[in-house]
Amino acid sequence: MEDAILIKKCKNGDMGAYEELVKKYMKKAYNVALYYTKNPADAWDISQQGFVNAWKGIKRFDTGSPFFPWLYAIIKNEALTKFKKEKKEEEKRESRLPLRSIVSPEESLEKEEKVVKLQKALSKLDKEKKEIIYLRHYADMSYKEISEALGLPPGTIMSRLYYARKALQREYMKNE
Amino acid sequence: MNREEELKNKYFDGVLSEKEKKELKKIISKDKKTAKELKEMDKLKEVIDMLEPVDPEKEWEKYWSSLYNKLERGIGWIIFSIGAILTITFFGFQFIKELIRDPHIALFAKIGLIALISGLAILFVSVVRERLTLSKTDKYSKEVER
Repeated sequence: MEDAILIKKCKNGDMGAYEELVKKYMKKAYNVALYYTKNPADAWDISQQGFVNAWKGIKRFDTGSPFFPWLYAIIKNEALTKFKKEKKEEEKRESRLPLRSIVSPEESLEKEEKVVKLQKALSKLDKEKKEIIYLRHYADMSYKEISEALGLPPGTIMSRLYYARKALQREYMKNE
Repeated sequence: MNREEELKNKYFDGVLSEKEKKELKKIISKDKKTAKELKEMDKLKEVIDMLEPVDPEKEWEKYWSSLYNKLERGIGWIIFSIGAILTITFFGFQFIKELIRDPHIALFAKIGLIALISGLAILFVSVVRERLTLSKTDKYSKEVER
């Protein structure tokens, strides 16, 4: 079912429709929360709190707008507020990206080395570049969604992504 | 961002149209550097795909039931609060009425009590009004840190 229809139903208090919406976006929501928290338990809580807040505010949500960028903003705010409260060090949050290798132990050591190199290269990127690469490649967000979520025109997103990929490539090649 | 960069970006995303593919081929035929760059892009893309985010969908039941409890608890709190306000108002009113009618209680104590209740009522109305005003503005679309 389309998001707009589900959201209309949610506005009438239909919890079943919201369940469908949560099911559709939980992976993305969880991974966005994981990007900002770097901790699976925190990501679980933050993404859930994001859905709770979205449910509370759904009546004010513009049905014509895409749902996920709005949810993304809520989750990002939740995560940043939590860290402000807990005064966690910036460094801890900016460490390795919460990604796992899909290279099986049976596969070559060479592939595993490549993955390690990539993780290293990713961790060397600045916050902005790292964020846009994560959102595009791992949170599986479209250009339009990233543009809505970050409040930037699609052209700027495309350009930022291009330079972020170039920077990643440079860092990756350094270790080649 | 120039046209060549746009084409390279689309190449990375694998969304080049036939016309754009031809355009890029033309660039490659003239510039070996671009061809090398695209090869490096392929390598990077291959490694990017070797990493993946965590998939929480395997724990969907647990996720939804815990989220549902949080949502339900929110509704429960609203109903509880309404009930508590109505009950306290009713019994409070009855209690104050009896106190005021009681001839054994001194007048200054009665005035003090009325002042206390009036102050509390003003504070309560003020808090409710503030909350209602805040709820009219969507804080998540306006205060979000980009």
